[in-house]
Amino acid sequence: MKTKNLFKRTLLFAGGLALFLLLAAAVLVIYVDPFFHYHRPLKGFPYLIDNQLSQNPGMAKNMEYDSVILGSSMTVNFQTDWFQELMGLNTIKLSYSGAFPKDQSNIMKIIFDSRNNQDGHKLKKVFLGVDVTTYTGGVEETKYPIPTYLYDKNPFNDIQYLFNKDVILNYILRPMADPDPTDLSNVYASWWTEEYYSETWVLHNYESPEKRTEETEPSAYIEPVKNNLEKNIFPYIEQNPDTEFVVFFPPYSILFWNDVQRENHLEATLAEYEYLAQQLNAYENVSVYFFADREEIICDLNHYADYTHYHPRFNRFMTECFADGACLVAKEGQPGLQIEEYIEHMRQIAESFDYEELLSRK
Amino acid sequence: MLFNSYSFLFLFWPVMLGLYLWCAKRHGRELLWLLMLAGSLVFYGWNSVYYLPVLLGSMAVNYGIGYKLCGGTEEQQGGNRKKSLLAAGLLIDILLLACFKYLDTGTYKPLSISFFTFTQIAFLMECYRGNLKRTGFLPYGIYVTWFPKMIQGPIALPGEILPELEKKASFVGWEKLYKCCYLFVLGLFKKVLIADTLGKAVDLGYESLGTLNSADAVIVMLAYTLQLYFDFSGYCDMAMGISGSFGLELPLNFDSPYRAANILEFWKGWHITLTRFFTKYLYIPLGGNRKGRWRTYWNCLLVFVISGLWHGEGINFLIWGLMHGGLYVLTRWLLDMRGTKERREGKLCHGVKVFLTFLYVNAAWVFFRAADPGEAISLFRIMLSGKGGRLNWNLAGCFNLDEFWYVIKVLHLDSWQYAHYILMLLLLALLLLLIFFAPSAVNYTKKVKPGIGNGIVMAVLFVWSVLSLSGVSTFLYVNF
Repeated sequence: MKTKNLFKRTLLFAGGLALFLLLAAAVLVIYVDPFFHYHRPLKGFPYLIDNQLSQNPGMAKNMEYDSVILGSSMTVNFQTDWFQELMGLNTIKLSYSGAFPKDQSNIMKIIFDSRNNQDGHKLKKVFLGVDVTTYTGGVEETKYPIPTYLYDKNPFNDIQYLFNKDVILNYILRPMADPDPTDLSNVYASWWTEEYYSETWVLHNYESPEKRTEETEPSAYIEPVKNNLEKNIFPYIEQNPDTEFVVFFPPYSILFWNDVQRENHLEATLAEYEYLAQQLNAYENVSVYFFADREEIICDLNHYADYTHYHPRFNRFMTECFADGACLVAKEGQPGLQIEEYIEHMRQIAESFDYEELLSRK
Repeated sequence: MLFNSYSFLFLFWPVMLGLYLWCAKRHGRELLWLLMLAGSLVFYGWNSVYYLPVLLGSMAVNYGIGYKLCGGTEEQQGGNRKKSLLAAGLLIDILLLACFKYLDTGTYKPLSISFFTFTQIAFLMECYRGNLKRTGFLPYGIYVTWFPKMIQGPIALPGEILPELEKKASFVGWEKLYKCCYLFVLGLFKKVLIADTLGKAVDLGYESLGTLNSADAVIVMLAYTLQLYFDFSGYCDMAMGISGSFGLELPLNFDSPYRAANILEFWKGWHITLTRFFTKYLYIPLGGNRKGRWRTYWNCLLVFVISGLWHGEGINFLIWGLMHGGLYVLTRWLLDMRGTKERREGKLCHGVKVFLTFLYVNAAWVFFRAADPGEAISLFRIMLSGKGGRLNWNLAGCFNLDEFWYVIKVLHLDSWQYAHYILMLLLLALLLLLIFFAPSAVNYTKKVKPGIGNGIVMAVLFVWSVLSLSGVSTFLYVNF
């Protein structure tokens, strides 16, 4: 009888202890909330922010800002301080590397539902980097599988956040033991140091693609791009007429255009640029910036760490353009350079550049 | 649903056990059976409700045929009629299995179709042999779908489940429940922390064969051998623990197989219920050992070939089956030659035999894991090439679980140039010690004592496993 009782007591003790430990873990996660899922950051806690997929939704929901930077790795080197300095905007950066339009849509939903856009607050500006390569993808496609529990409003699947060893060890205990708080202005910045931005390094890692003989139909990309815009981007522009959407096309290096030429889809790519710019620019609350044809940037590989990723000083340059209106694409009938002119300039560069000479330096 | 999921741990199992006890106390047997069957179907259909029609269809057909087979004696029915009925049933089962396993049905491959088909073949065979009385559909349904064994076995026989269901259901008692929970926690830990960690290393190794040196390749091979055991036996431990908490014992599926001194012994300890199934329903009907020595060897080989094909499609599984079948036959032949004379064997000799058997089983698993024979041969080639150099950094990294890494940091071992490799080597050594010398989880929990110490062990292992169920996915952000 006595031993039987002991089995019961041991089991109940183990169950109670397990429950207590799990609750303690959950309370700790809720209190510190390293993914900002429940509340604003604690004052003084050295938060480590390095996980776009897991931390962006919480930052969008619970941090204070009046403008956001969205886009792929082309946007990670923007410093939000510059936006304050040049435009007086309190900006937050929510980049997703390799982001598809669906990724942008996921985060915009959270942004526009957040306190920053409710109860008398209005989001001032959304800076949106557009990569032509991803707008041809599927409308439901995301670059990586997203941790849904951080994106939806279902409280039950939060268990994956609350009972999570990685969260506790890497985002709560490690920062406490070895504090190195992330500077929000420069969050997600790329790891390349100065010496990586060199022609030698870029060419060393670059492989020219196989030449394709068959040319892609010039209109091939319009349909998927249209679908993506209508499903993932336009709804936010239309529902928020008081927010200005600053859309920009980043300056990829000339090697990107070498790829485009060899893969034989120059006209289709240019048509996509043109279509995107026209469709977006048709909205009153959208302004479009075109950096893809900045010859002085793209033709010098010393400005790049690989075939598309440019030096952070060009993020600074683009920020200055946003402030003073350089490189702006004029709306139809308005003075200034129209998109057709930018595209023509881009075509000239892509067609006349001496790729062979460049690649021979490899 | 998986055992290692939040919904199972915090919702399904507690609710199911609660309802079971409530039904057992207050209501009749039918309601209890209904609950067990309904619960099992919910478990099966949790993530994949569209597989249910195949399962239910297959159950209806097999139950109908079994019902006919069980009725009356052979004389009354006519032996031939019974035989054709059985043949029809087996044909349908095997066709269904082959259809989903080998034909391209896209992503529609009903979960665990191999397991529920074999379970039902066992039922038909037992009906045919006259070992079973007619049974109701509810107990039959529970026999086939009982959730603890549904997804990955063990393959229970009708005689192990059906009579138990007839007994009066009640609370299993605290001692039994304690031991079941203990076994479950050990199984969960084996699966979530040990097998999944090894799995990461194995995946990485096979993805980057080109970067491995000889020692890395041996580690990858070994890691897969360990992963397979801890994964599958961990799952079976959980299954036994869960089922036991409902008072329904499942048959043992693993009994320290890597301690075997020859391949015959290995198969007495590895996936025992599958071996038993093949012996009862394939080897014996083929004539077993009653038709002379050579026919026996042939039958053995055939069983292994079929077992190989059952495990997966592709030439690799055939090679794996032939490797096991070949050595099995050879060993039997050697033992037959030697006769029944008992021979004394020194410890050293036994150790050498265990080592060689383990080595052979390891090599066979390479074919089981590799995508094609070419990949398997590449791994062997690297192993034998004698390529030296430092152990693979990334491979070792797979073993550096954060929780242990902190210990290394606290001990200030991290500045040592080999620190990165400590955990990999320590864990592999520890796991080898476990499989060769420690009692299996099942045997350990049979004797486990109550007390604060064991209570703490149980709680900590459980919490540790639960916290490891979901991680934070990180992707390389370097690329565009």
